[in-house]
Amino acid sequence: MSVLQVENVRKEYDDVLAVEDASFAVEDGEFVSILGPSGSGKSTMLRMVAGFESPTSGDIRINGENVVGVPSFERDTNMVFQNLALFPHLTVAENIAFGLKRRGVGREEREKRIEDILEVVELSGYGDRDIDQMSGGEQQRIALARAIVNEPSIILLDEPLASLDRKLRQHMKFELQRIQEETGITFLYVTHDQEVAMSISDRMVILNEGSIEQKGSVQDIYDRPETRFVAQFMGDLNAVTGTAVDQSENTIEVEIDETAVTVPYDDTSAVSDGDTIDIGVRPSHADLVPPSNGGIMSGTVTNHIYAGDEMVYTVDIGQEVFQVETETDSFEIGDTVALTWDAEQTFLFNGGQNVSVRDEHAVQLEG
Amino acid sequence: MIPNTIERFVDRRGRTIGLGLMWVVIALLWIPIGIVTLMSFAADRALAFPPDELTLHWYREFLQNDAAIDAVFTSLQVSVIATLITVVLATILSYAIAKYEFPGKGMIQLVVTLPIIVPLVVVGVAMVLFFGVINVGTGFWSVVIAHVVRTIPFAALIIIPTMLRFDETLEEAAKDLGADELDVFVNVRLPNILPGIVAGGLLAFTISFNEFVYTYFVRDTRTETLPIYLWNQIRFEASPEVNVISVVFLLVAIGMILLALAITNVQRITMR
Amino acid sequence: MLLLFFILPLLYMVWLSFHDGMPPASLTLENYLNVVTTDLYLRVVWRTTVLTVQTTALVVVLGYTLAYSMARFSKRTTLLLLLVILPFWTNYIVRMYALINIFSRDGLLDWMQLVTGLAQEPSGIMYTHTAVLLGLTYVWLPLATLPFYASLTNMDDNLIEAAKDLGAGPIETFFTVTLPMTKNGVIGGIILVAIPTFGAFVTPTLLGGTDQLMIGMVIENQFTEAFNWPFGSALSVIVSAFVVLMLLIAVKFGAGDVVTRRSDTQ
Repeated sequence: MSVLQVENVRKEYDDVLAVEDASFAVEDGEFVSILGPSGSGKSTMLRMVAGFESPTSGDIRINGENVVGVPSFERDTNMVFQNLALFPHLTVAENIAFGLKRRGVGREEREKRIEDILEVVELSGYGDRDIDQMSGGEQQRIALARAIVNEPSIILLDEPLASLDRKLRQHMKFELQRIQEETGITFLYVTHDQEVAMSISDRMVILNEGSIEQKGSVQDIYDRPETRFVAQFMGDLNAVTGTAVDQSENTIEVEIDETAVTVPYDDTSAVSDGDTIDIGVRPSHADLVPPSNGGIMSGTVTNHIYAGDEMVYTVDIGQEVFQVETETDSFEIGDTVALTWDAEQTFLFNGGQNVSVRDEHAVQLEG
Repeated sequence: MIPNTIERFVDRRGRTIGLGLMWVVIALLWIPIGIVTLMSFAADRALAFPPDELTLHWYREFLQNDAAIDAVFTSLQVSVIATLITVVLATILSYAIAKYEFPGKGMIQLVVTLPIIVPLVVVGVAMVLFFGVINVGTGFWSVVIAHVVRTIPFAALIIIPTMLRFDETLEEAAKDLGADELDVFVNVRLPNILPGIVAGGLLAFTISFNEFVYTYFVRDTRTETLPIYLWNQIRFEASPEVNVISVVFLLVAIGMILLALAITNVQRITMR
Repeated sequence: MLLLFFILPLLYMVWLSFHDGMPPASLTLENYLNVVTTDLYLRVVWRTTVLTVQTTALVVVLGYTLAYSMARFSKRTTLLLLLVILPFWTNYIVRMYALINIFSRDGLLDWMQLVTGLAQEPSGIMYTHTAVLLGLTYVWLPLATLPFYASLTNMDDNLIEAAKDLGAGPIETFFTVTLPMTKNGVIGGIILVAIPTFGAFVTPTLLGGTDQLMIGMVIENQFTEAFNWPFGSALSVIVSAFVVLMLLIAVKFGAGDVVTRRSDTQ
């Protein structure tokens, strides 16, 4: 049975629709991220699971039991807050003991569990310190320990790493992963940072404007985004708009500013001739060649910068500006160049939905 | 441990109950004020509730009562003079705090706040003793001095932060452009801190106009401010005219607060 | 100016309190001994203390409830702050007179009791302990609400959610998190109420009369009728000692800041 099941949950504030008909499940021991830009409803989603907000309609099940209407203090969930919300008037150990006391755990047992959890988060011996004596990274771990020590069915994390600097965030990312694996507790992690989400989660739920755009494994979502939004959110994406003009068995021809571009495609039901099509290419999948070598489209180099072992070129192709990451360093600003890209790595969007087809998987279309 | 049923009830109904209690308390704060206003229109001499009939009689009585009108003018005189002195002194004090280092600067906060904290009776009797010793005696000017002592802390506590927020580089810029010290103060600093000074002045005036305890001790019989007149009426005559005077005070207070609000903001006034 | 007309008078008053008459007179402790050996004065000090404790307790409960709902449940806080503070800025004597209107025989209170059948005969509660207590509470309630409100709004709301998330119900959360976190505001409010109540003289004079003597009234009497100025000074010094004591408590609990920033007496 799933630890958490969210079924058709909808949340409205006055006139604003915060979450629209969302459904997803989290299995025991999983690390799942809810990923979305700010205002996408991801924090609202988490707060509904925690019991701070109640859904306008829909069910939230924890271990199969519907918890809608159950107050937060009676739910088997614990949260790590964005600003941590550690009690400044209590010591480290007292903070961790707070939940245990409410659960009626005896003194001796409490002390033992606090000691154990402090060891897990590598803060043994710091129990008597005041909260404001601890560094930012240490406070993160205390907040995590305060939630984990209760051994809830699921731990909810509301972007706890957002306030850390890059280096500490990298470190805490691995710490989170290690602690989750060590304790085996289910984590539901909310973030707007796709890099963090990709590196620590087993699965992701992508939220945009209150609706779930896609859910699945990290690999799946990165390689096979179902919508243009997901493709853009998961990494840099160049996109150019054209019109479908012709389809053959395995390809489709798209006319962009009077240039015809051929893209692999084999689902005749998704596109009709005359549809407006967006073609998406990641900068790392594109390359530049001299115009004499052909290429798919032509443009003018307007900027180039070094990024470690490769060059990032900015190329003006008239309708759009493309970013191209390549090892070539032979072009200068003002040069006319030809753009090429690996046809297999092209995304094809019709009305925002990804209709390009990968070899091994058929793309699932919604609706 | 508190039983879960109670916790759950409070969780569900706490907001409603809390808001209900809040409005009850606010109503309790306002009922007496409403009653005074209502009773100022009551025809009866006695303070019986509810009034039998409503009339403007006591307002006419008030306007024809020379002693009451004299008290109003005395109050206005004292308050205007005291407010002017207070504003000037508080502005100089704030300017000194913002611009110069001097011995005892750290103590100023305490010295300025103490008159607010020490019970009025204590300061009132101390002042009357002291005026006796230094031969100021009691009368109009002793009342003005007492009012200045009473209002300076409030004015200073509003003007000092305004002065400290003033961007000193503006002054440097003005000097760089050829303005002298006085020029800078009048044309650069003053326009920037004026809202604070006006707010401080309004507050000082309000407090001075309402001031009773200090005045009670340091006045003589010829210097009868409106609160003193009111006190004497309540203690020795208790005519319904007192309700009318109360309404006058209410209107002045509300007018001053609204005026102050228009200039500064609620937080500044209420958090002092 | 403050130094001249505030500090010096207080110092002179302290000096005078150790004399047996107007200077030049001999130094003595008699004024203080007089207070602790006279039954009447001991009763006055006791009554003043009781009223101070009762008023403070009432104000804390009512004011904290008010501030809590304003801070946690309301949106239009500017309007509410105005509604709370405007009565406070109304003339003190006027507010007392308003209460006289209500407490007198045949006043609003009597009328309500008759209408609801709680009492048959109009009696009023003027010149009783209750009248003074309610009067002092009415006067100081808005003032104490402000530090309560400030400390509640300064507190991070997430702490409350964190407590609930960890299994504490709203009541338990209040006592284990909210109250400790707003301790400074509470102490500040207590001091803002306790000090002027201990030195009150207008309220007990108008609502309590000679039956409900408080220290402030005795001091006033020594200066306006009995003309025993050294003795009045000694009583004032006792009140000042109470002020100093309260301020020390404030500083000890780290709430000194609240007092110096927000205060007004009477």
